[in-house]
Amino acid sequence: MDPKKSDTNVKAAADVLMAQANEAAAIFTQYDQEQVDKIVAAAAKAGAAQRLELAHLAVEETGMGIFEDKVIKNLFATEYIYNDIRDIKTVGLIHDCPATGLMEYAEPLGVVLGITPITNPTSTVMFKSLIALKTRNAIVFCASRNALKCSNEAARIIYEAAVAAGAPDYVIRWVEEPSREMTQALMTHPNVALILATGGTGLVQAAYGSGKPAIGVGPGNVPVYIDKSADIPMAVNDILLSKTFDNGMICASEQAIVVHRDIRQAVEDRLVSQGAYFLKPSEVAVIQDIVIDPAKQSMSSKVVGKSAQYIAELAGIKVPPQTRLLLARLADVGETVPLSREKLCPLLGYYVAANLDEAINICTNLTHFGGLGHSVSIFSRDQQAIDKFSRTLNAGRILVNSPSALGGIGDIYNRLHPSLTLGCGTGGCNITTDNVTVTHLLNIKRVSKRMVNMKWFRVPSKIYFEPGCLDVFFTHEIKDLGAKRALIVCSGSAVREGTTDRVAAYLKAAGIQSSVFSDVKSDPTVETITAGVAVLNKEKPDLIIALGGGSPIDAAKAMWLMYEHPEFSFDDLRLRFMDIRKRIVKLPPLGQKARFIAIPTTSGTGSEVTAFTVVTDSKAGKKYPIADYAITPDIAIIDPNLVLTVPPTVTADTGLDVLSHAMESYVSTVASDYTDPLALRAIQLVFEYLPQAFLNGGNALAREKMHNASTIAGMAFTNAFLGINHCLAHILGATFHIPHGRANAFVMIPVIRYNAALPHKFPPSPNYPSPKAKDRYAEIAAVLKLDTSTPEKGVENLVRAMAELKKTLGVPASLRAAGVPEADFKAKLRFMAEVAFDDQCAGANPSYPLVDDLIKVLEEAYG
Amino acid sequence: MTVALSASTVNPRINILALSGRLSVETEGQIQPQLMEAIKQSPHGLVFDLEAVAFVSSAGLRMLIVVYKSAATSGTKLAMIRPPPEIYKLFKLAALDLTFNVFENEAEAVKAICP
Repeated sequence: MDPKKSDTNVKAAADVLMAQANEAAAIFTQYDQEQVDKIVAAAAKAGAAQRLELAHLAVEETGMGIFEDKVIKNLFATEYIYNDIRDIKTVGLIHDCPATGLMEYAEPLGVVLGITPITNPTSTVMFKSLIALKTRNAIVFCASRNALKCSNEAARIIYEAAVAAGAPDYVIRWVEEPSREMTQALMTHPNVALILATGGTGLVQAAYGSGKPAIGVGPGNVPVYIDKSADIPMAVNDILLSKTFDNGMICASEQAIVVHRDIRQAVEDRLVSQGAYFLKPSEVAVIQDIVIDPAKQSMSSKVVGKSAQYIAELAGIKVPPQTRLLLARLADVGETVPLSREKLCPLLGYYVAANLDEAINICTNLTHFGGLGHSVSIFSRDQQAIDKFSRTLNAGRILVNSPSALGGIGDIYNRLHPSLTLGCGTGGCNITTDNVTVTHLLNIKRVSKRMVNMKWFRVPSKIYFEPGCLDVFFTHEIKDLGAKRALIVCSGSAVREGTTDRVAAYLKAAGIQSSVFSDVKSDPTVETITAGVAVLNKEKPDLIIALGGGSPIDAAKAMWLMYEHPEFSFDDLRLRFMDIRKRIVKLPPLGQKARFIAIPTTSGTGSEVTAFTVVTDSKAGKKYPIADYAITPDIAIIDPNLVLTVPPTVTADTGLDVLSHAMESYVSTVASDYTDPLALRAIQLVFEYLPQAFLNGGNALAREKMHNASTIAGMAFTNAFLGINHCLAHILGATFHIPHGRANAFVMIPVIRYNAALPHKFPPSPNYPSPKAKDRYAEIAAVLKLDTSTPEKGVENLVRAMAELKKTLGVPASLRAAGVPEADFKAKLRFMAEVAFDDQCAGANPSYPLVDDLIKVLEEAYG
Repeated sequence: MTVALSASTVNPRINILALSGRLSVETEGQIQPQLMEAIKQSPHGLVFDLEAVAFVSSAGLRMLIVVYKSAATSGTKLAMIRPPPEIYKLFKLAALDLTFNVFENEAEAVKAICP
């Protein structure tokens, strides 16, 4: 025939098959689960009913295998497969998990191209048909040329039963006139959604090379190791059963026995007694060229699925009449040892290993020589040997104490999914190591509902407040702690003011030994922490008392952390994170060695209740912000008597820090009902009492209210976090040596304006569904009893109130007014903005800041 | 499957044939002559309203193809409107959406048939 014409005919035939199948697949999409299940049940029943006829046909046509075993395979492909898939949901909503908000819907693939082998012709066709029907896919079969009649008959039986049960017309199609060209035309046909290829290496590679999605599974070269702990009669029985089943044509059947030297004789005796025949070396030399085609370097089709007797005869070897299995003693694995290859007939290689390790290595060699990723088998009663074997060998199925052929196809000897298409993973150039089943023939559509991150609220378990609470605590409550040894961490000023002595005296009275680490200066350094940790390690206290402003408390928290968990490095701890609960470096809880009491002597940082600390690396010029709930103090003592002598500028600066904590946590993307009242109350207290405390430091009520405001704001922001106000303040402070609270005040007004405007970029936060900073600022204004007739007015009036407060506190209106040199500021502007952008605090800001946005805010703050 | 023929309110020269129920093997024999008849009665064009169609079988789909071919021969313009999403998807998968001339509503279909 004219080759061109032949090509056209082939293409036309492929087009017809594919058009029909495509139409069927389209119609099939309308079916519900009940209809599908009815079809699959009918198809399985029809296939099982024809098991004998199909087995006869297969043996007759292929001249391979054993009728009785093919009957089992046909039943397996229908009964076992059906039993496995009958209750699986494959239509519509197949999984629904309210806890994760994930729903899975099944979408059919469309048209599946089924390539089927000569070795298991009818069973593979029925298996693939059933899994295609169950998943509402149409399937077109391209069977092995030498098993065409029986394969197509199997397809026809399933198809007719399916259509009678209501399946779409043409849902199963088959190639009547196979050819290489036809296979190629089908594999590359636009209508093919997936190629499901079972067969020889060449065909499977062609499937993968077609450019279509493919599940192609190829050859194995299954070693079976008989460990010295094995149940020998069982091992021998199973290997004989498996390797003679359908004359060894299942690709998961054993190809070589590797036996432990200690039981060698017993195994050999048993093998011989059960009908195995050990080939003599001269016989091996003859038979290897019969079994393995020397030209092709692969098994000869002459022996596939033939009996041991037949093969021996073919090689001119006389074997005892009861011989069921041939064994060839082999010394090595590789091309020079042909029988170390896969041989789908009752002939096994036979190796003796000195120990488990050597056995595993022989198995590794065998799988690497052919069939990597397919299956391996072990007979052992030693779990450690089984573990080592399983850890080392690369095989999709590692079968323990069972016949590998019947074990590999699943469900008979184990609970693997029953399948006649066994994935070999990338070792076999496959996409999966699974036993292929319905789950591989579906597109899973995942419906993901919006989920919010769980929020939390954590503060110290005890907070003591009101004037004199320090004395009450240390004269009464301290005893309940049962502490024996305390370290007081403080600054020089606390020592000078006598507070340290007072606390030490109380401790002594309570029977607690104490020592003092007072070498903490402003912005505690790594060196300070290291020195402090050395003291902790020496003194081994079970109580740490941090006494002072933000710096001693921050230092003590870091010391506490390193005391309890010396394995952590500052570098690990400062690693930037998006979500405090998903961070890479996780801190275990503290408190195994010591509990922690924080006693603030300024009203600003809130460190006595927060999960934050900052450590400075003076050599590298870096700051390590450490954030973790583990470092939240156990007890905070908020005694306003300790802040009566704070000088006015410090009062103003620390008070403005309180205000920025409260403001930022109120507009934060993770603000909650738990933090909002705290933030609002702190803001009210600051506006009312900070000017009084600043103007008259002796105003005890104002001092007390500001001391409370500081801790209350701390409780808000340790849970709701901060925003760009702090990001900018951190870098401004570091660059121009501006006190932290004051630096916050300089940027506060431009930050409010920026956050209240429509964000240029929205923060990626599921808990924050739409911008609301403007309204939140207006709510703050309302609490301050300002005019909030519109949100815009509220924001503007809040800005005005802020400006007034700054003025009252003697804080310059701008950085320019504060004397920051313009040239210097401009030169450092972008750098500062970039550092601020990467600051840990930026994450919860209501507007995700662009670097250019931060530049504008800084410019506005400069004035 | 039931059918109901009426004149289009947009353009009375065009007829609308409302189909409802299952377009499947049991009904296709009895429906095909009715569709052919409707085509005959609609020389200026006919629009199938599929809003109430619940299912289209293999045979039903092929019947529609036959009807379209026959209309093409007689020169009658056909269109479809309002197929339920499952059925529109089916047409799309079978690459018949263009052949069937599918529209969202009557006005669009009538305009396309008889501009």
